[in-house]
Amino acid sequence: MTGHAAHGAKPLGLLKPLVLLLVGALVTAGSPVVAPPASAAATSLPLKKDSVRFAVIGDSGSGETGQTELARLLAERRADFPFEFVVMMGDNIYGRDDPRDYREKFEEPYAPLLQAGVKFYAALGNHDDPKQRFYEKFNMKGERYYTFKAPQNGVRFFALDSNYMEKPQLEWLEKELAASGSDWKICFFHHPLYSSGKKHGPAEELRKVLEPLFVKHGVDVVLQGHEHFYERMQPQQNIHYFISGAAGKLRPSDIAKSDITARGFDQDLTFMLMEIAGDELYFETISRAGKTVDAGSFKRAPEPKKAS
Amino acid sequence: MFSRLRGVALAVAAMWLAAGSGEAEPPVNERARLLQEFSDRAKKYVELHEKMAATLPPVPDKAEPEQITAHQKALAKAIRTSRAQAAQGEILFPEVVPVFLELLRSELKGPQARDARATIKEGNPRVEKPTAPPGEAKPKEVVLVVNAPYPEGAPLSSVPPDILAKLPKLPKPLEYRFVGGHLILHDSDASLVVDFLKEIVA
Repeated sequence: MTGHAAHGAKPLGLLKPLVLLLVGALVTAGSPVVAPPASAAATSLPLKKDSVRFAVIGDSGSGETGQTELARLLAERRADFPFEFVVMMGDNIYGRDDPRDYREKFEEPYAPLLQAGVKFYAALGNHDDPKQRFYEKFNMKGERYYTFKAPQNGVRFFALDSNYMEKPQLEWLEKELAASGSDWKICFFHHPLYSSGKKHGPAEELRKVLEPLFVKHGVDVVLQGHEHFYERMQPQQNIHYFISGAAGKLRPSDIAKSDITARGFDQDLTFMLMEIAGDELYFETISRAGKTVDAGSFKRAPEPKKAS
Repeated sequence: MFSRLRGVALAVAAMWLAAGSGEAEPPVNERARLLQEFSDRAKKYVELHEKMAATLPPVPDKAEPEQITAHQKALAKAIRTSRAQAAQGEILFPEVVPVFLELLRSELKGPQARDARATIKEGNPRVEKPTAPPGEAKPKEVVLVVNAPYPEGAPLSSVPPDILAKLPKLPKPLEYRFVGGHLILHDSDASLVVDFLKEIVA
C-alpha cells in the first residue's frame, strides 16, 4: 500500500524518500478507534475477566521461513495475551500435502501452541484438499462447514467453505444462524466479500448470497483470508469485515485503497488477536517485526428485529 | 357471470390438454429426461465410490495425516481399477452436453456475468499458474483424462453460487470445478477427474 502511494509522484530529488514515507504513512492510516502504538512488546488488549480470547491467521501454510517466524511471535505473544484458540482462514497447507507437509507447514511452526493445548479451527481455502477436514488438529470433525461455540458463553463461530457455496451449505448456515440466538456471531472463511486487493479483489458472487443472510441474522464479524495482506473495512451494514491472509505469504503493495478501507497493511506478514468481553470486541493486528499495525474496539450492533 | 365462468373453464381445459398430451412442451420434457439421466449416472458413480470406500478402513473424523493420505490414495486406486474402462462422456454423456452448454453459457455470457466469469478464474489451476513453496516441485498440470488424479498442490477453482444453484445437484463427493475453460466432475474425496466437458468458456 505504501508503494501504491508513489504512483504519479513527480521527481523530488533527495526529498522523495522522505515524502514517500510520509505519504505512505498517511495513506495507510485508517480510522482505528484506538491509535496503534508505534511498536508494542506487550498487548494493547484489555484482558478483561472471563473474556473470549483468540487469534486469527490466514493463508498460513507455506512452510516458509516467514511462517515460522510469525508463528514464533504468535506463541510469544500468548504470554501477554493468553488466547485459547486460533481460527484459520484457509490455505492451511500450500502445495504438496502429504503427511510431512502437515508437519512442516502446520505442526512444527505452531508446536509451542499445540503443546500448550491451544486449539486450531480451520476453514478450507482454494489450495486446501477437502480431505483436511478429517485432520484431528484442524477440529473440523469431518465437515467442510461447521459451527462451534467459544469456551465461554456468548460467542459462536461459523466456519464456511467459500470454495463451493451450494444450496445445502446456505440452508445449513441460515438454520444455524437462526438458532444461535443472542450470541456474538462470527463467520470465517477464505474468499473475502470485500477487498481492495489488486490481484483478487472482492468475491462479489459470494457476497450476493452470503451478505443477505449475515444481515438478516445479525452476524457481527466476518473474518477472511485469500488476499495476502491485512485489511479492515469500514463496517458494511453493521458488519465488521477483516482480511487476515498474511500469516504465511505476503503480496507486497497489493492494496489499492478504496473508500471502504479503514486500514490496510501489506508490507509484512501479520496475525490478529481478538478479545470479546460482553458487547465489546477488541482487536490488535501484529506484524512479523512485532509492530502493532492496527488496533481498536467496537460494540456490537443491536440484534436485528425478527421477521414477522 | 356466465362469460367469466366460461373463460375459467376454457383455461382449465387448455391446461389439462397441454399437460396430458405430452407434446405441448417436448423440449422441456426432453431436457428434464436428459438431466434425470445425468443425475442417475452421477448417482451410479457415487454408489461405486461408496462400494470401494466400504472395502477400506474408514477415516475417523479425527484422523492423523498418514491415515488421511493413505485412505485417499487407496480409494483412488480402487475406483480407477474398478472403472478402468470408463471414458469421457460416461456421466456427461453426449445428449446432455447441449443442455449443460446452454445452461452454463447463458450464465457466463454478457456484461452481467462479469462477476461469475471472475469467480471461475479464482483458484483456477490454468489461470493462476500455481507456484510451489521453496524446495517443492510445482504442482502438475491438471490432465483432462477420466480417472486422472487431480494433482496434489493444484488449487481448486471457485464455482459461482448462482451456477451451482442452476446445475443439476451432484451427490457427494462429486463436485463441479473449472480447469481453464473446461468443466470437470471432481471426486473430492478420492481427488480424481471423473468426467469432463471441454471449452465451456473461452
